[in-house]
Amino acid sequence: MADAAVDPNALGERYHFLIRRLHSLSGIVPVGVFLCVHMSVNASVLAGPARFQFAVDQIHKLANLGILKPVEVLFIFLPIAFHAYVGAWIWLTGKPEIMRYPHLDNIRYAVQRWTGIIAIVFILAHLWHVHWIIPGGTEFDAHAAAESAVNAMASLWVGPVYALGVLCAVFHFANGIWTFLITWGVTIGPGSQRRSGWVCGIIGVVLALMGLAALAKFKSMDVSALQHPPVTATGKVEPGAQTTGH
Amino acid sequence: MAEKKVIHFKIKRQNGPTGAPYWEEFKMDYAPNHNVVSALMYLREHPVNVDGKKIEPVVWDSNCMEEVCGACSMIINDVPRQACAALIDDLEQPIVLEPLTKFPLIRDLMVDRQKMFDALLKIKAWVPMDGSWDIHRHAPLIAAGEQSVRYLFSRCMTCGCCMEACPQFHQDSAFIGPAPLGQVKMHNSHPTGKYANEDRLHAIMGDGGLTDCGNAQNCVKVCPKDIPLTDAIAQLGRQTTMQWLRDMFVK
Ligand code: SF4
Ligand code: SF4
Ligand code: FES
Repeated sequence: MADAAVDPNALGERYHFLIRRLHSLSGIVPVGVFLCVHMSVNASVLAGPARFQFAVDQIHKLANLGILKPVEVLFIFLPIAFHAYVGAWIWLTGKPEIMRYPHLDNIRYAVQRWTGIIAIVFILAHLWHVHWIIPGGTEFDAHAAAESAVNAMASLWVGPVYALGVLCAVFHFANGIWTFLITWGVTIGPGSQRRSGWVCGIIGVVLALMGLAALAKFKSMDVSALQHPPVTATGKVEPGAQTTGH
Repeated sequence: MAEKKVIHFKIKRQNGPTGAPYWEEFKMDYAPNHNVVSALMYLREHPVNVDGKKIEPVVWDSNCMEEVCGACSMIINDVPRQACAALIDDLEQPIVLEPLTKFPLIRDLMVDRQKMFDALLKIKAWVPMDGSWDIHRHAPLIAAGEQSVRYLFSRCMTCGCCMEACPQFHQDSAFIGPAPLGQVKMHNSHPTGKYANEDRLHAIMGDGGLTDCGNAQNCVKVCPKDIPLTDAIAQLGRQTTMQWLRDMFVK
């Protein structure tokens, strides 16, 4: 099957193709899937703190197995880092002219780039804020999930910053599904792209509502009413206090 | 238009590939049925700017005068299109003319679209007729539906408007651009053109290939021939996926 006319540096050239396709894929699996799981877990707080704790406990079963950190690094942080690194490079290759060509698709193209940048900055801030991987912030306490989240969300800056971050991440994901379907040759004609646009739009709106509603709930929830033990400012359960079964 | 009827041009000029661009305005008496090229021809015969100064005539490129050669593409009132098909009566004045920005400038409104022709060579934009043996004795059959789809793509005149509008195609990008991608799709769907499918797909699977498209879909909106470029791009997304799998698992 090999052809003499194939480019001499075909190997390097195919590498380019592979990187671009992996970039497209990584945005859906695992990063996009993770976003959906994360938004669902957050939204479970709308059904009450116990329900939220239950959802968090499901994830932290991995911690009991001792594999939570490797899973996080391998399936969440590394794919996000890869997606962001290649994405930044793609961003540099484009010169959007939305004033001269103000079509919806072109605006979407430009917004996809801006939301990607805002989302990655937000993700770094978010990790610093509540995750061990960037030290300095308040580490989320999985055993007192609702209290810990409410405390972390208490500061004034959290509301607008998180709302913006969530909206950008969700837009980037929803629009990313739409372009993913084109990139891989699933939706080809304008009709199928219009229909997939509706589906992606609905996915985006639902995820955005889930994220914003959970944020509003965390900001407005009264932790003192919970039967869980009080939580210190660092998010750690006070010594001696025992949480639900852990 | 109550005042004396004129045709008012504002033209972005540059004396050579490396000169500094400058704007110059022209006013000529109105005459019906002018298009931008015929008006430029009049200005070439009467090279006087709005200040009454005699100047070197404006340089542009044109050929067929019927929107089939693609040579006269320029940006007219912010839209990349053919000057020969831009009727003065349809245009808002002053009519602003700028050269295409994504191709190397030669002079004034004339650019060098060579990059596009090089790309057509790279993707083998032709149908193999025969080699050391006869490829086909009879004209191969193409279904009527497929013919009409292929006809759309066959109308590409390498005018460069789609390339001009594409945010991923510019002077320091490696991206091959939408017009050659449309030609890959067309030639890959021809019964004997298919013989070179693998070469064409490999040619667009490297750096600057299909994956560099960002789906802004500007190309399809500015194409004066209404060529469904984004259909071709998605179709090639599918073909390159399959080709990649073949490369991985068959070879
Ligand atoms: S695809 Fe359309 S816009 Fe692009 S070069 Fe061909 S005719 Fe011109
Ligand atoms: S769809 Fe692709 S080829 Fe067309 S204008 Fe957008 S980036 Fe360029
Ligand atoms: S002169 Fe040929 S397209 Fe205008």
